[in-house]
Amino acid sequence: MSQMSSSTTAPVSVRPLRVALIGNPNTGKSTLFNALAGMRVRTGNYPGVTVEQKTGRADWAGTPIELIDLPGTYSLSPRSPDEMVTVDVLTGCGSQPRPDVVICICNATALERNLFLVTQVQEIGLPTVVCLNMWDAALRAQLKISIEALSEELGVPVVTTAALKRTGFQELQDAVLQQYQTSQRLSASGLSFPVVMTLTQPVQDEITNLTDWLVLADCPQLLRCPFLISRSLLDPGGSVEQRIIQATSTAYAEQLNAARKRLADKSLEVPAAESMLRYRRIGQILQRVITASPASQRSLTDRLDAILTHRFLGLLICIAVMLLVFSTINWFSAPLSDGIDGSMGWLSDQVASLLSPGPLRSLLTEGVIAGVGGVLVFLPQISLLFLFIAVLEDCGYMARAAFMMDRVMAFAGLSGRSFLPLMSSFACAVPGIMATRVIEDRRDRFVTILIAPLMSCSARLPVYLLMTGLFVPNISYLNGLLPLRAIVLLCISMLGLVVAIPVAYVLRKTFFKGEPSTFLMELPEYRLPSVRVTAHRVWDSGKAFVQQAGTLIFATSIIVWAAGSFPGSHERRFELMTEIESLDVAAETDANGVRAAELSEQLNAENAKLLENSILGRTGHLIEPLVRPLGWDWRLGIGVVASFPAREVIVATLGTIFSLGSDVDEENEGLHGALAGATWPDGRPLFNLPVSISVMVFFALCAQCVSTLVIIRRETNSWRWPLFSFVYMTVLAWIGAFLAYQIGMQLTTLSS
Amino acid sequence: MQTTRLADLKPGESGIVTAVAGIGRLAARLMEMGMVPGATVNVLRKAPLGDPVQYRVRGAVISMRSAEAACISVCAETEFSRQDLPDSMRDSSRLALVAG
Repeated sequence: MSQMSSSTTAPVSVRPLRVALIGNPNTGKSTLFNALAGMRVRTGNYPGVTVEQKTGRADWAGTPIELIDLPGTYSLSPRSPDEMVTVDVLTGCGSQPRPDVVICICNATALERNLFLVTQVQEIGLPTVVCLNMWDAALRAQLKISIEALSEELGVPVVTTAALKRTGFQELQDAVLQQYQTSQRLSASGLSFPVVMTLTQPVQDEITNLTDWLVLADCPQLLRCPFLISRSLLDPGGSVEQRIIQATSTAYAEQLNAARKRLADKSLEVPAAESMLRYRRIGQILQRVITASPASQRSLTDRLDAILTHRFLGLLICIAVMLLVFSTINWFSAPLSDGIDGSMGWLSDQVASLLSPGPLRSLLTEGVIAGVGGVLVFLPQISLLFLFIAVLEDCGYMARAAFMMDRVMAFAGLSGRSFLPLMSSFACAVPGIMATRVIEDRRDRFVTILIAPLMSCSARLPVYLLMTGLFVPNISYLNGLLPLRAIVLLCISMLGLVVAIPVAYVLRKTFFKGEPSTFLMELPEYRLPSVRVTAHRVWDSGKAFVQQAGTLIFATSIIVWAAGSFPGSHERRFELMTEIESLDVAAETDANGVRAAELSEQLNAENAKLLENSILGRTGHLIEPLVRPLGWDWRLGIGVVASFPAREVIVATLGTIFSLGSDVDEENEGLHGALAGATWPDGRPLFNLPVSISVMVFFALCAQCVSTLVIIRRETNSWRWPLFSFVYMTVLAWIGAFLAYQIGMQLTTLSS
Repeated sequence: MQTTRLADLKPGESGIVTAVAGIGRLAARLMEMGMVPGATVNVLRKAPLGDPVQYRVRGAVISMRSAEAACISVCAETEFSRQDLPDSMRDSSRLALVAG
């Protein structure tokens, strides 16, 4: 950004100029926003809705600028609270004052469709600058667009940019500042910025009528702006209509119906009339503006689509791309996550070597460091998934994948856009739920978020491996090709998916009722993704996760640590730990080694006793009547309660309860032996095949993962939905486990 | 004028929109994206599983399900004339400048 030397442009006030960016999807709006705002971007949520609010700071010729990135939209006809945000920002009806200048970003190669939104924005009466982005692509396509003619027709400055090549920014900034000064001059002489009406006289007359009525009805001044009144008239059942009716009376609905009836009599049927009037006006504008448009030759996009969405080839390529994405994520995130685990372990050891065993060391190593690790361990997966999402979306392939998979997702009442988030959830629901941001439809998005945790994530695997390894007979069919354990593993991994389909169906019919999900989607032109934009998106997602979800996940791990440690006197435990650490063990067979082994056994027993008497342990006892019908005793009950932070924790918890120390994993021989040998007080073995299947079914369907619940809270902006997820999944898990155990026991009795 | 449903056109065929049924969200969204009476629509191709279908309208490619395309009526390009549009859509309009 070049600094203008003149001091005349410097503003008198310190308040930054509020500049809003609005445009259709696929216009390069985010790229432009990022380029204009640099790294000084803040993301948050608009109050009460799930729309991400992105603002950035910039300095143009000495003028401080606050950039507001509005969600991509085809129109200003809000039909949901999420869509209402854009209208609220532009009209100043929300929590913030209206912007000083609005930039309408258009895709220069699809001007006809893009001008629709421009004509709507011009009816608000805000100082506007029209920005024709992707100008380089228009030139390549040999489109001849007269900027002067367009500017004359619209009555606002028009500038051309190529956001990816970072050209035209200076002209855009100058035009914005100039428009602002024009509006300041107008207001100094008592005028406001002109409203440009595309709607014809009969519609305007009705708006005037309605305004008069609203004045008499004591409608708040803010809602009486002509633009909102026109929206209430033109969007039957829309958000503006509802809001004005709420603010005044249902009599307004009658006024609207009468007005619509009068318009229909003049063959201006609402809502069709608006689109027809606008496109007719756009047609007139473009007749003058587009002086040459190349003969309709088959574009590169068309030729690529013939291959990439081909009946057989397209599907094969799609499967190959998904395999590539997920195997790469697996390949790279596993060592990275292990590295994070490793460094946390190292840090723990360092703390342990500095501090003697005691409450502080316990808090630091078992609470704080484990908590930080529990947050950071997700980062590699989230970053990699968002890297792929950014690339696939920016190059245009994501829309094609959704297009091809739509038919499959329609079975669950969802659309193709839910495909990738659900696929991702097979690795981990946390990035999967974050990925639902690509779903525009709010109801589809919420249903996808709520069923994503049912997909079998990698944290369930240790539980499955432990249970199948122990209690499923090691036999195989078809000459060893088909091991029974593999079949059980596959079935249990598919269970969540199978259950998710009816769950999605029911959610669609109850909490998210309404018009069936649609699949009206634009397929953008293929283009090369930009490194800069991709880097931005990966950085944003990582930052959002650590800042907004990480803190909560961290806090929960501390709370669970405390619940597992208190109440109880840890003195004996710390004594044992101190003694073990003071022993100089040269070999396991020498006197010290034998003593250390003895002490470790005592320590494990002490740990088990402490856990049993802690809040967690008491809760486990308390819920025993609840888990009895599943074939479980209180120890499994503690396991389930303690694994609330994360499913895989159950393995370590079982290790502690069965007095083996907490360092066991699913391969541990001691744990296998302890579980196989565990009995009820009357001597019956605790575990058998039905019990182990009921444990697996429970963990397949339950919501024992704090990170998932926290991320649901972040993405839905309310505690209602994580609570809902937890309750419905726990109920499902209990019923599933109950059926598995009871049916399993019946079959066992029958066969014996 | 002989009209058919857009959903009944095959890939490679094209037509001119004569009407969009309904007043709900879907109809409104279709029309905002350019599916208004008088617009030319080309059917590009079907998804591998037969649904949804890609269409070209007003220079952009959009995809929709057959169920959605069923609410759009089209006629052959040769059969369409301006006279089929409502009166209010035929007269010329002018830019109205309203001082706030």
